[in-house]
Amino acid sequence: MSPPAIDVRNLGKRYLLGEDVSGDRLARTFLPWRRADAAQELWALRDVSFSVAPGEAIGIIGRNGAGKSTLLKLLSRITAPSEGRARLRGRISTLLEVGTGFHPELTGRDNIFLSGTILGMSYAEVKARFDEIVAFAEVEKFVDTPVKRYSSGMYVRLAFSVAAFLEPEILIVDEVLAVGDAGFQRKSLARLNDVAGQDGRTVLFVSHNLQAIRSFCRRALVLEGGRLIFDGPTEAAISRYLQSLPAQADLRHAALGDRLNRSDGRLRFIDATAVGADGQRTWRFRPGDAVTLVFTIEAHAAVPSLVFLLKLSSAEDGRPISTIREVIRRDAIPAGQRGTVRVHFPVLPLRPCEVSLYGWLGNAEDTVSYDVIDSNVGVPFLFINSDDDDKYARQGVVSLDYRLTSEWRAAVNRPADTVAAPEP
Amino acid sequence: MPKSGAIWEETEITPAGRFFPDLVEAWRHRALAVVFARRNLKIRYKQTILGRFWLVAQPLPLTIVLTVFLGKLLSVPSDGIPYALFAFCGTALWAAFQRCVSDASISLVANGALLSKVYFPRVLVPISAFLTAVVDAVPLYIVLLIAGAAFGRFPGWPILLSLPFLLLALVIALGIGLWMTVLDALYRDVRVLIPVLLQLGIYISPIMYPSSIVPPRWQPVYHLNPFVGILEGLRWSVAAGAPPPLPIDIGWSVAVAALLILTGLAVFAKLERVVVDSI
Repeated sequence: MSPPAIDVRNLGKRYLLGEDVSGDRLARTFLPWRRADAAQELWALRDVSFSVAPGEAIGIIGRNGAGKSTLLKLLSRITAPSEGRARLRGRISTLLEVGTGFHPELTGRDNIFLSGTILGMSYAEVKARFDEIVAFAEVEKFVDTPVKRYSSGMYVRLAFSVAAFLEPEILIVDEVLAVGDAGFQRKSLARLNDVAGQDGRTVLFVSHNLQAIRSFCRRALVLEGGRLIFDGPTEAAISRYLQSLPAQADLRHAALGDRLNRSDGRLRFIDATAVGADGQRTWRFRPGDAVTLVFTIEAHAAVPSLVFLLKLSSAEDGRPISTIREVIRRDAIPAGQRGTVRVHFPVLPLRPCEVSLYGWLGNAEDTVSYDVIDSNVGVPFLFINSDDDDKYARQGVVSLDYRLTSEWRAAVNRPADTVAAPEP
Repeated sequence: MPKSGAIWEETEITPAGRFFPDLVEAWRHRALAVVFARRNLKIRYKQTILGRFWLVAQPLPLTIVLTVFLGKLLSVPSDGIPYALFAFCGTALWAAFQRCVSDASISLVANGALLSKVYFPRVLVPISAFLTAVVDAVPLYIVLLIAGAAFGRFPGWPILLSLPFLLLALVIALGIGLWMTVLDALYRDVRVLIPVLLQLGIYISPIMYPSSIVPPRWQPVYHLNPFVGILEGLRWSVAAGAPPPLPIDIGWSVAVAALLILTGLAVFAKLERVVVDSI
């Protein structure tokens, strides 16, 4: 058996908390026996061991802060581990963002060379693939235009195309497919699939997009709190991950800075939860289940009116499934009040998928935003899963309500192939 | 199977740092240093009217002021060549050196976003700053040679040594830059300190006055400055009439350059792995 492409033993990464700009750090750097106080330490990753065979594609899943990005950064040598070791066999390429090394002032052509060499291609390799990259990105007419004049779609396409033509033995990919339009995402996934399918190409893939993990990896790792809690078949890993999700998303402080950048914060979501027919909180449902989404909202300052908007989208490609907009209050809400909004779906008509939720609070005229929440601030996906073995019951997005009828009677003209037996 | 051009490599990741950067790996990625340098050159003079002319123009005001006040009014000696040429040699070399030190020193932090997203041999970042400085020094160097000839001081064969003297100054700048750029990533004090030191350097080097005005008992100390040999060498190789540099001074400058590069690489190797965590 060939040696593993990636062999990780007891890998750990410790960060020191707080702004540590003191002579202390200088001393620790040069005097190895000086150690920081344990209270200031945070282990972003600890005691992680696994190995990956050449050609295997491994998914890494876990909640925000579980250590996924730290693991990728250690394996791609962006930062050094604090303990343990890892051995990688083969040329490594890392895609932690789209457009690594891109400079807005430079032309598409310059950026292809810049990004390509940064990502590990030789100058000659970039040159040899230049035309293919440009064609894949569909930016032929703009290769000599500075990328700052590109539309965001063109920018993303060009940036991803450079990455798509890497030919490493080991490819380390973080959530980079979450950008770009759905069509281009599919094309990119297909291209990555080709890469993974080739002999000897090993892929480590972090994504929140469980569908992508499913279609891409037969084995997955689940990280939680910096520890590896599961290593095995993808389906089992996904259900282990789903069990670890909290039933109630506490939104009181989640990414508040980001939310306040996008809204004025007078009303704020406090938490979000989903409840099944049995009254239990869960984010996991089956097609056809009754689902109630419950949002708790608090008024930090008085507002004149309130509109609630909920958008359900496919977590896979971001395509909206449905949107609900309701005026909750036409009158003023005084500061200090707390309310709940319940959205009840008696029969969830969706096929197995993950649904991302986007919640918005604003005034009745839609001119002011009070708060915005989505998966970026920790709202979980609705996971709709089915044990149904009938693959046709799993395909598609919605289950349409339908009646199928069928009638049979004797045909008037006898079909030509049912000629009577030849006469003797 | 590795494709053509790909290199079969094995990477061992451990907490321990290295004593010295992996120069074999850096050489394999050398194209990146060139690509970075080209990026730096392309973006630096975007949205300027005079563009690259600034490189030549920068030392001119100081040369003029020095010529008027020190050369004419104070009659500072100038080693047997016109004071204006004397001063221009000094300010031109210092301008190139200064640019290289400052750019190399901030290079890691300036590329911080990139360093946190992808791995490549980190040492290529200050090296690309050095390459940028070398290319940037070319116009000034040409003007310097023309100035020597324009003053009727074409030096003959020593002119072949003028480029090595200039490069020696830039290699010293790279050595300092290697030290400073990792320290700058950990302690931003460095970027405040560097301009102060560079400013002081102008006064303790024979830029506006010749080393001969230093009293004999202080000469040995004064000659510890590696720029004494480099500046005297540059003047001798650009303008006929300037005395040749002392071989021991040149030897000392080369030794200092080698020491700075070697220790700079060692410090860089020690600290490069933690730099990303503090950018």
